[in-house]
Amino acid sequence: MNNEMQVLFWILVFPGFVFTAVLGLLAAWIVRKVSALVQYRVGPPFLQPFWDVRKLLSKEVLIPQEANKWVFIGAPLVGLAGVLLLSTLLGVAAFWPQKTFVGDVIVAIYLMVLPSLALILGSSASASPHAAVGTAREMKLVMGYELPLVLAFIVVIIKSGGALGLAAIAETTPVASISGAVAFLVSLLCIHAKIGYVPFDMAEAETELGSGVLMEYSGGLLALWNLTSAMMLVALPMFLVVVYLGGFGTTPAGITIGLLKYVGVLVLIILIKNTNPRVRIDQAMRFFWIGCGLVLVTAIALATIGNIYDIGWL
Amino acid sequence: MDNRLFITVFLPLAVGFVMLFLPGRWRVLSQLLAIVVCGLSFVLSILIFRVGPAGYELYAFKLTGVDLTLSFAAEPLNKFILVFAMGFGVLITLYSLKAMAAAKTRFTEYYGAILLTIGGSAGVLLSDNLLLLLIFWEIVTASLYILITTGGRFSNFAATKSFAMIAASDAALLVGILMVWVQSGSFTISAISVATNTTPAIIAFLLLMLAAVTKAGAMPLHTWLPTSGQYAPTSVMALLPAAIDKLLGIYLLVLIVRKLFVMQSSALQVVLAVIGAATIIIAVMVAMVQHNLKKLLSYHAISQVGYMILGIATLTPVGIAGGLFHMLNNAIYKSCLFLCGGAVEQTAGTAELDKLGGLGRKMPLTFATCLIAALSISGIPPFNGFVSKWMIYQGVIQMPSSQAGLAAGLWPVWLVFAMFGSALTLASFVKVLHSAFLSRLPDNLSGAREVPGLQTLPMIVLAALCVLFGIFYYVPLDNFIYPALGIQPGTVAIGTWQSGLATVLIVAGIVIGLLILAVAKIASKARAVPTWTCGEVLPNEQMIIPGTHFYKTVSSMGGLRQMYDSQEKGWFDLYDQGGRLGLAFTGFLRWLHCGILPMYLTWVTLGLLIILFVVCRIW
Repeated sequence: MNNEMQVLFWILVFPGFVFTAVLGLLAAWIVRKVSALVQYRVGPPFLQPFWDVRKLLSKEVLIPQEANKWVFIGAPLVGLAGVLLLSTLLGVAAFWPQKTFVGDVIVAIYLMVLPSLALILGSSASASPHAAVGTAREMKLVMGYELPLVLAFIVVIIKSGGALGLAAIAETTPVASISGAVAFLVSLLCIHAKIGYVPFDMAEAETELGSGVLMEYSGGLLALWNLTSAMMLVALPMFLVVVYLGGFGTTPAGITIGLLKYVGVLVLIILIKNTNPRVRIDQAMRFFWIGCGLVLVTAIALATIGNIYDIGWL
Repeated sequence: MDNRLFITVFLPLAVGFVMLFLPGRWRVLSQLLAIVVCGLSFVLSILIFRVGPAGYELYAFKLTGVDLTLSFAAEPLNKFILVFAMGFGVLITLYSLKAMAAAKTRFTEYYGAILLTIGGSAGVLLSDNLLLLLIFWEIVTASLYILITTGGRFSNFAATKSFAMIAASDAALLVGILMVWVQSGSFTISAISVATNTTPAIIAFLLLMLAAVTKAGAMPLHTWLPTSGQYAPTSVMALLPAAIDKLLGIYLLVLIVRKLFVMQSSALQVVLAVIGAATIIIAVMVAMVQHNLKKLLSYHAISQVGYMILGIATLTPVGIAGGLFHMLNNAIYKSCLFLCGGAVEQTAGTAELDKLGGLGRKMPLTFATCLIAALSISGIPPFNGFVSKWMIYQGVIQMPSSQAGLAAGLWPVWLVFAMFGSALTLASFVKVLHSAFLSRLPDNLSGAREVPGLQTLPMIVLAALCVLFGIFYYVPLDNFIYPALGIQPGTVAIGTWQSGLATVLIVAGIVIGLLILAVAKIASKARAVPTWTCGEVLPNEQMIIPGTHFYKTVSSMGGLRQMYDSQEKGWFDLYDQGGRLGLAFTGFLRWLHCGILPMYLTWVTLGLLIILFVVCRIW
């Protein structure tokens, strides 16, 4: 198989579109089912997320008259492309660690912004006042969690000794130290906010904004957003697994353990989602900037001390 | 001897100088002269770039020890900057042909000052003599003054402020040059190499650095930029503070760090890095809460300089290359953003974000170029701003492994400021895109039209450069940046960023999305409907949510609120504070000169006593 075919396979089938979409919709079902069980409901049947997407695709698409049509339609496409590239990049780094593909960890962090940015521009283009409020909240949320995400990234860099390749970082397993574990937990919260689950769902806020950023989206375009957020459920926990938890490895045992790590991260996300009420945007920003910020500054100090005196567990 | 160097510098200077004295209403002649001379300079600069190293010398005069021979030299570092400076000259002149047509007079003055800027900056870049560089540097400062005054109401105030602040830093440049001369005995740039291990050398370094960062617009003497941004014509902002001032300032900074001085002091590195990091974060925090589009863009012009200075301060090859590349990229997207801002102001009659909205549907080209430039400045892959920021981050990360000292030890601080600053930049451009181009169209702008082709052309060229320099980033790196720094391409330890592949894959992702939509048969089923407002009927004006209040959450946060308040009152503006100090001093003098004879007599007696004390030494 030559190189172009290899890349095409990666992006289209595994670990790209087909794999991420199927696994993502499956993960979405797990989230809904477990949440239902926590709330003493029966929950949706196994194939419900697939049926949702299929049904939306058959529905009429409504476009607001005042909307900027190109941005409104283009946004979900760019969001899908962004999360697809991210998950392929992480997947290749996880399953074929010896290959260089697309970019390093900084590239991954910047690609993670693309879906959020697409959502912001799309909702801003929809010309709805509700969506505009959602736009502002989503952007502020991005601003909020970007600071702890960068701080946690510094802990990882200290642990990896300056290496930036995803595979090289996966080998160091930063979580096996105090500072790395703290960085992992805070990054988990950032990822949670990026997915947009309770308590950080103020941009959609069904009860006050009528799903805010997504308010004017319908039919096929909404189906694309659903697919994008399902794929985020694969890509973002995978980022944590690769960067903090030591990645997947190439042996069957390694892959099994890697999948268990992924499920573990998913369980943590579900737990946080079901045990917290929605917070206000100013509370969220203060939480991320001050609370998480201070914790991570301490973690960076610990990691630096550990690095200087060669104490691995700090 | 290469006469082309001489012509590139003195042709625009001579024509520009003559034009200043022609009647202001000669519009066609001044436009014609400006475009022809700018075009000629651009062609010449390309010719200079294509030949190898070239020099030019013309004996002027010589005093004892002071040799003012006109000596120009084209080196890899200044050659490529020259091409871009001249290119910006052509693009902005093209844009001005239509944009300035509304003005009734002062055409010759405007275009004359543009030519003076072009010639002066070519002189700064090419001269091989520090005194000569200073003279051309002053020409650029003076023509900036003239250009800002063409802006109409309040522009005189802005021009004076800019001139005062830049000229103050130019005085520092003069003293710094003299100090360098005392220590090295030469004004010839290529012959100077001072080690920064003595106090005079460090002071000289700091003085020259102050001049460089002030020209580029970094803190602490940065406040001339937003003031002129608000009142000067946007084409002027796009030419000078956005592009040429950055090129010149960073050129001088690279000259100082790499050629004139041998960096041996970690403290100086810390100073540079602190200026860089503080400029990034403070300016972007202020930019985020601005309500005026032009002022907001000006604060970003400040913030971005921080990245360049920080990149150079890392002193790692990839960091310096990233800083220099960021200078180039910033000039491109920033100039484009100012031109877009100008187009919006021209169409809507205002640059207040509250009064704009929905222009994306009326001005698709302006919107598209503005979107590309905004994504570039926010460092979104695969555009050009991402590449240079990514290199600067790597330069910072490589600091601890390649050098010892405080600056290297503090690398997490620099990295946080740089990376978080990027997120804040994105936030403030989301605000711009929302308020000006997306959201809803106010009723009074329903007749808005796209600006003429002569104005969109420069924007399209610049936006295309943003995309090309992002996807094919190795082309400018290998052809301009690495040769300029004397780095062999391929020897720089740089991370992985397969931009071409990433772009292809993003396009592939979009195609997949389109295929899914094709399954949904969007074309046949899409329907335009009014915005859903939960059944409530509201007039259009009440449904516009401007982006100006997006970040109230941030500006009302405890701690930050007080900072924003004092910033608004000008407490951090050295110009205002200097003015207050001067007023207090003259107030004191005025109080002394009260016109009462006994008072004067008292002072005279007191003075006499002091003189007696000093002369007779009675203590």
